Amino acid sequence: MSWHATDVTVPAGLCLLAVLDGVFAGFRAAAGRNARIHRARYHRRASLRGLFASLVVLTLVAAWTLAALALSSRRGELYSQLRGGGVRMLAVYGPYAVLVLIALAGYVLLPFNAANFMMVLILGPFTLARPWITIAGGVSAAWSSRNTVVQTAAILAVAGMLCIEPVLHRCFYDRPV
Amino acid sequence: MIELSDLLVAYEPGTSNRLPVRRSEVLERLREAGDKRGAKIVEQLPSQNDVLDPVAVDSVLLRAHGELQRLSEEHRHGQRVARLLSPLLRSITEWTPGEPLWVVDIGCGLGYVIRYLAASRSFGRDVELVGVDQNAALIAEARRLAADERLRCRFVVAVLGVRPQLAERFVQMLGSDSARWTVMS
Repeated sequence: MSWHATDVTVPAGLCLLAVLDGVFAGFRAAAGRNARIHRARYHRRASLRGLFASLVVLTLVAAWTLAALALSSRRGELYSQLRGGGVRMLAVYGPYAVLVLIALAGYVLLPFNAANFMMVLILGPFTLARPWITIAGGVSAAWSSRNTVVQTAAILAVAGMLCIEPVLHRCFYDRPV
Repeated sequence: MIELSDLLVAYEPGTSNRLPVRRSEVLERLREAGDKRGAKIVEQLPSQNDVLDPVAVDSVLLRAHGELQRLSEEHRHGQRVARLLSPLLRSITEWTPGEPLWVVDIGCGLGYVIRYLAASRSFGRDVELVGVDQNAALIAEARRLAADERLRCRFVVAVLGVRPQLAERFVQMLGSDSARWTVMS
């Protein structure tokens, strides 16, 4: 069986995006619940919770795919299909993530008014669109594959990532601090 | 468009005394305005003999104001106010040196802007930062938060009435007739 660079870069890219998304989901779960002015530690902790939650989701997805690969008689073909699903997910998430990261950098680095434009034009609307983008990536991966392993992995990943924010919110940030 | 928080609380004119708010009246106004989500929130609030439970109402207001602060922070509202007022305060100081200055936020809610200005030390120590709101629960929370971070600012419960009367009311309320102000609302 021959290996391609994408065999590693596709899952690595998806893992990186999932961890990043988890960090932001943790941050958002805690936002609006602590009205103090200085609270960097509070947000660091919330982001770490999001990171750990994303690792839990990734572990579940990895366990599913590794178990399916281990039990499959046509491992190479299955891995190729999984990689194809991953590529389709990255095609949806990649541009979204790049745009959000650029806007975030702009929000931090640009002068006051331009930074606010980043919030109004990109970060705010894109945060609202995130669940739909997440679902679109999952549907794109699952729809084009007839393989139930790929479809299940996509559903697990999408459902897990979408659950992080509400679960953290309910467990840790249900009431104002 | 109706602001839900304005319907949930009522005060005796000219005082900070809270008046009972009838759930049926609030629901009627919301339904007339076509605000189904607002009506759903009000339906879930506990009440006794059709009067909304003020503790539950305050709890909802505190949560809502926490979210409002989040929005203000995302749009750097505190920083914006500091940038807006700094040259104004400098000019006032030049015209009337030595006189006390107040920056007063009317309808301050949780007092985010005032607390931000205090925490960031945007102005000199000669500028007193005051937040005013008619809701005692919001002011109590603003005071708690300010005390927690040892911020040099204060919060006052007051029903201030209409704008033309504001300056006069403030002078009476804060016990001075010589101060210069900057009023935000």
